[in-house]
Amino acid sequence: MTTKTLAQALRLPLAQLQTSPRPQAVPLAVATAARQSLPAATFSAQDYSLYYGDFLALERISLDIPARQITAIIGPSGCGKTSFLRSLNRMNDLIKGVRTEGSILLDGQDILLPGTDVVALRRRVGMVFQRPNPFPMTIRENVSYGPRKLGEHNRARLDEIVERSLRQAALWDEVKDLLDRPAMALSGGQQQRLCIARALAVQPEVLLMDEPASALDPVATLKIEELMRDLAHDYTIVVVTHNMQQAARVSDYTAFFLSGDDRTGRLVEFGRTKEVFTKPHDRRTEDYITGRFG
Amino acid sequence: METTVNLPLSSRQRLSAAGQPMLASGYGRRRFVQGAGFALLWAAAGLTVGLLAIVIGYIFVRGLPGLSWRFLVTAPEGGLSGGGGISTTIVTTAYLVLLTLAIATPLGSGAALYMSEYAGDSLGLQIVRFGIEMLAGVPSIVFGLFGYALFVTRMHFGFSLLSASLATAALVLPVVIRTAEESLQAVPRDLREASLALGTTKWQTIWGVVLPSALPGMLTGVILSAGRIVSETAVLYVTLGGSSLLPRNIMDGGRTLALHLFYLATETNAPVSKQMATGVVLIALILLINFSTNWLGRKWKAKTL
Repeated sequence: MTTKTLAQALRLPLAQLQTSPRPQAVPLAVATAARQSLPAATFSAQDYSLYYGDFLALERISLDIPARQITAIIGPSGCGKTSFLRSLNRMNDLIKGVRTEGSILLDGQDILLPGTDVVALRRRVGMVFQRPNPFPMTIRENVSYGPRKLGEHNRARLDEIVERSLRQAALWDEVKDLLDRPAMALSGGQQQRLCIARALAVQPEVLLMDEPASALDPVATLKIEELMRDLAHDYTIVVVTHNMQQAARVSDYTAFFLSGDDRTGRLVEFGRTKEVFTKPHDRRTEDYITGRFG
Repeated sequence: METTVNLPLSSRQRLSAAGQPMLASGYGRRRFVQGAGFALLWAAAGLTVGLLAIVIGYIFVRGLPGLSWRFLVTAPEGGLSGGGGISTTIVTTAYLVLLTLAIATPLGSGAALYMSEYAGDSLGLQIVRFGIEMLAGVPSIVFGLFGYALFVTRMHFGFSLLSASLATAALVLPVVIRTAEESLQAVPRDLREASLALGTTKWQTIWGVVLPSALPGMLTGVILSAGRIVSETAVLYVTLGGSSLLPRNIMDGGRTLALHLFYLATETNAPVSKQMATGVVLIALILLINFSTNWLGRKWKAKTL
């Protein structure tokens, strides 16, 4: 084992779980306070390229994602936004023939190295999907699923986690009396917030959101956006969105991806959302955000 | 516009007069084609249901008079007379079903789980899958001969519940594997990804999300094969022996309901009414199994959705 992978192994969050009591073991108020002291997770992609077989899907993306901010990734369909997002928790590994170049650093450590514990990585980097995908179980079981699989079986502590996560996801008041009802009975917007609660229950440091509101109506969308603003106090959030107004409303930083005739996605512009939307440096960014294409 | 089709006749004519003659012209013919199509489909469905009703009705009409509580709880006499009831054969049927499912369910589910979740899509797997398809089409007497050669003689299990269960398990394995694999692959990718994204291992994801979602479908396959076992005769004819006595352990031979019916019909002097009465019990048993499959499936859905 090289020194680098050893160092990596020592920093595994699962090991952290065992050595230091994570907030889930302490009362709610303390937990929220403890939350703030957790390390802020940052991503840094460096010359990152992604291939599906022979097809170059993303070319030399270099991008720094700051901690406890919302970074939006925008761009037309097929520009590689989602591919990039799914690179951050190695979800692309599930696809056959995926190959990468360059590096993606999470708090300084390259998550693309062969020795990386992908399971531990995904515990630190939670994900919310485009379509609400609650498990066919009760609401309570949905939220407690992650902690249970990570080894928490104490009934009282699980109940605490369920309540805290649902409160964080602004869903508690709506479902506190329905915890043992099937999750499928909830509305689409509620299901999506349940999925957010489920992701929060394992105490990730980063939340990846893949068009989290695209399947929802405007009111539910607004709720999700408010929720994202709240969560950004504690979590690093990366959100892929089709919706430019949403990116402008909700994000602190914006990355604009674009693919040419070769269908290979490239990063065109990255900066503070305010600047990207008011004074874009690149002509193509300006054309896109003013609705000239896409 | 298309909507003219739904308007009352008078207004349709008015509209066509207003410059859309094309739509009105083919309408009568299209309506005729549709009517004829419906009639044919209805006739096909009616004929099928009718035939089924005739078969079952005939057996019930001829068999019900011979059916009594006494018939159900009396042991068959064995031998050529065909006398007595069917009590031991019902119990033996239950034994055989349970033992066969105890062998086929873990084996078939395990194979399906491996093929669906771990094996990928290699050439080897395609060959295995093709082999399973082939097995499903092999006549059951061939499985019987196989069971006779391997379990009864070669492995010295004799004519016994064990030999018969092993051979019957081989017979129903393709059904169990195929339904299990289909239900596993019907589990949405969304759910797997949601679980993996929480930092669970593949194993945990399979046990925590994939299996529970696939279980109703897998169970359907198992219950369907229970029906198959209940109605099987050829395999049992050459592996189960055929004793009318109740087996005391799995090394004893015996006679299931279907096998008993076969003996009654071919090798004894039993009256037709007795054969028909046995047939009624057999059909009732299979109907019961099918209805319980539907009921279980619906109950399961109601719980999670």
